[in-house]
Amino acid sequence: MVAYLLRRLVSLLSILVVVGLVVFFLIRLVPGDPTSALLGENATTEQIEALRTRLGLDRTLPAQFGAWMASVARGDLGTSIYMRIPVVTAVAQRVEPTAMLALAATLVAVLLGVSLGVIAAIRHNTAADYAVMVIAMLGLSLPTFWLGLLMIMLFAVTLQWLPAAGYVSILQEPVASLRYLLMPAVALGFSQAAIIARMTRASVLDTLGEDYVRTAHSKGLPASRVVIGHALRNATLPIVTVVGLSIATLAGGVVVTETVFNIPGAGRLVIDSVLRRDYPVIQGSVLMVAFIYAFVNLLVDLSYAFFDPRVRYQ
Amino acid sequence: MSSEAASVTAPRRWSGLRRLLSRRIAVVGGVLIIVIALVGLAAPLLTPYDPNGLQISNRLKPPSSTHPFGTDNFGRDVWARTVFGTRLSLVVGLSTALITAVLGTLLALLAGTYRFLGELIMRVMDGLMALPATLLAIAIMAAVGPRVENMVVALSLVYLPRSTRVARAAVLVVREQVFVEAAIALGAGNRGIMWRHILPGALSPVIVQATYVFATAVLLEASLSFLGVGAPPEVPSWGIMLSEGRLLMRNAPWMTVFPGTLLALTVLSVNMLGDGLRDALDPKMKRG
Repeated sequence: MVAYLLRRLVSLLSILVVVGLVVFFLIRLVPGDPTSALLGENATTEQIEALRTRLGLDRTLPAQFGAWMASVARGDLGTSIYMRIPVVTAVAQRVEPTAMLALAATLVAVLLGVSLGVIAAIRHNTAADYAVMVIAMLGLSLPTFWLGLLMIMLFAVTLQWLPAAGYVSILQEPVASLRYLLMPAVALGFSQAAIIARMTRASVLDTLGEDYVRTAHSKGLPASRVVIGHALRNATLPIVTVVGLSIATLAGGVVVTETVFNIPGAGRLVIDSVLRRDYPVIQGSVLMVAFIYAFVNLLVDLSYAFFDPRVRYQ
Repeated sequence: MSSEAASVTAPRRWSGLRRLLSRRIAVVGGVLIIVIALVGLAAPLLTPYDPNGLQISNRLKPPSSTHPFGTDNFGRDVWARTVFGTRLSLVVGLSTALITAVLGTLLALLAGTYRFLGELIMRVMDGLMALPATLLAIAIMAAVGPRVENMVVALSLVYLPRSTRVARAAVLVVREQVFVEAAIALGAGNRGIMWRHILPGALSPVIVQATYVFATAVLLEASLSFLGVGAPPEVPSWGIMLSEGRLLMRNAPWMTVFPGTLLALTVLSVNMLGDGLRDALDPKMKRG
């Protein structure tokens, strides 16, 4: 177990180096450089040179990369060129809405996906099964941002049940916060719910055919206990894997969803930084997301033993 | 030799096609996507309007007989823009699917044949996969600027690791088959085994994966354009139309409803075709 963990951490490090390389050199492909965005078009050559030196942009690319990775290892992701505050601080200020949105969307995806998938499996080849499969197909095909726009039109503009856009901190007004979160979470979580529903259906269908399920039935267990305690319990591993994968998609999806619903989160920060050519913020936030994602993946792998005690790590 | 091989493989290939046609979902999806492609090709015949033709006096008109999908905030015909927008989505989706399928298969064959190279390729792919697709695509587009070619390159880079993984898994399975062992025993070279024996056996999952790349690339293209980092403003794009419609949702819902419906329909039909293909090409897949 310890050896497995160590090996995973080493491979995590190699992934982060590749990610760092990709992100670092990608941003350097930009035709313009941030000095023109900061100083405007009327800046003198001396001003530009002075700023380039201050930002370290006059050094060679490998030197810039080395300096950047070294400071990343110390937990320093640089300073925002535009906001003049540390990147870590800038992202930290925006992290609450994003974390809440991702969490709520994951919750929607898992609850909706697993329950729909189980219903489809136990009602295999009935109208209910087909209905779930149609919903799942729609979930895979509807663009998240379009679904969000349609929901705003229906629930905010026409019916006026929910606020159209914006965000309220959960710490200040919990109830209002949930009202603001509901639509974005459903819009973002729906496509992942579709993927989870398909996997749950397939996985539960497999276990429903097992001998121990027949035994459970024949010893007189109520159907609900057979399905939840036996069939679903043994169908968990593939579902957990899909949930782990969907977290990556959600992490990318928040960028779009935050734009649709005007949520001042980290995703919005990335888009704003792209428009401002704020290299350090883009690099830092992408690297942080990759780190969180790799970490979540590790947790998912480690959770296998929790869901299935037969799993051993080597 | 070659004619003999053809006569042996031909019936199998036709039976695959027959299985595909026997699945209603694949037929519906395939027909829909062909119709959508024809709409894109025939766009100039389907509308008298220029998709970029500004007519400020005609702003925000609701759907009518002259403008079936209404007009937008610049007085442009929404039907014309929706129909022309088909082209961008299909071109980007199809190019990305083809590029990732070909490159992914090549990388997988290399990785499956040469051990050290394989390790290297797969580590780089793992690193790329650790970045969420949307975020990586945004970062690339931010760097290279909003052009259609750039978008194809960005989306191909985003989906390449996934296609490579699928192709590699297939290559690894085929590589262990007895007929490959036999070919090695007969003294066939690495390259011959790669092209003649492993490639044909590994194609099915690659084709199925390509349809999913097609569908998700169409979605991601629209998302990028919606965020303003995708298609350039002069190219009619569903994503750009939706981002313009978003600000006018209360006054001009038609700007949001029509392009979005066609976008969803396109992705839906590719997904249906993909599901049908998967079931038809995988003999182990049970119907249900």
